[in-house]
Amino acid sequence: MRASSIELKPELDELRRLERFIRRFCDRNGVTETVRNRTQLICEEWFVNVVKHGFGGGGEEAAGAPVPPRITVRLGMTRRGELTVRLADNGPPFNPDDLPEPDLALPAEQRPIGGLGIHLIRRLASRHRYERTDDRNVLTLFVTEGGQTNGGNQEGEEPT
Amino acid sequence: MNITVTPHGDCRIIRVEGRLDGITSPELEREIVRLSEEGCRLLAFELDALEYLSSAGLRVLLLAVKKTRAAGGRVALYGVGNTIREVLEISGFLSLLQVAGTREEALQSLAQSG
Repeated sequence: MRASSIELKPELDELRRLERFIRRFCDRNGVTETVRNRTQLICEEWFVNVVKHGFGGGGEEAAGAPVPPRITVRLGMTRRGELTVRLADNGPPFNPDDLPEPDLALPAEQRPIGGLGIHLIRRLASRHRYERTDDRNVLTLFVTEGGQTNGGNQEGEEPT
Repeated sequence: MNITVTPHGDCRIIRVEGRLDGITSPELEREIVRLSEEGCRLLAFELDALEYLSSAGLRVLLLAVKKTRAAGGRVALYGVGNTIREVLEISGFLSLLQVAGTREEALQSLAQSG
């Protein structure tokens, strides 16, 4: 599996570097525009979330344990041509599957502003898996050209 | 990202080019707030040159919908490409705002709601 990774500081401006990193990887591996765009979205939504809720607000919660932030994105291609994304951070435990689905039927007036980022991540990946290992959140996702799915959290193999 | 606002009768056409993401969306938000303060309640977003839309951008579109509706107005989009449409669809936005095929259709639907 060809792979490439980048380490990011917990600052919103890093989005631009992340964007260029993804573009370069996708160009080099002949990734389609659809898959590249989904990957960009998944990474942005995750990164913004990590910056805002993981390390954001600066240090009150982290005051007890001043651990230097570590945020990494690793992209790879499987032999079957699927793009894999591995998102890791050492912020507080956060399992995206614990978040309820947003109510998309609500009228505009009652729609909360925000809260769609994690929903997008879950829906844009064909499958994903969350683990908390070594005090890190590790989210692994597969992004494929194929039809948009319910983003099931399935780890099994694809049907043959 | 580039934002161009063009008046068209009571309506404002807002052309957004490039990337509407976590870095650029505050700029559009300021524009929406400004237009709302000016009393504009009919907004047409021209999105044929919008390359990328993340939840930060969706947030601003929702803000535009809320502000115009509160004033009895509406939001319409046109020139929406497949990439952008996928994001709008997954987020349930296609039922929140009018997605028109052309500028004329967008303006027409806004005029009817006025």
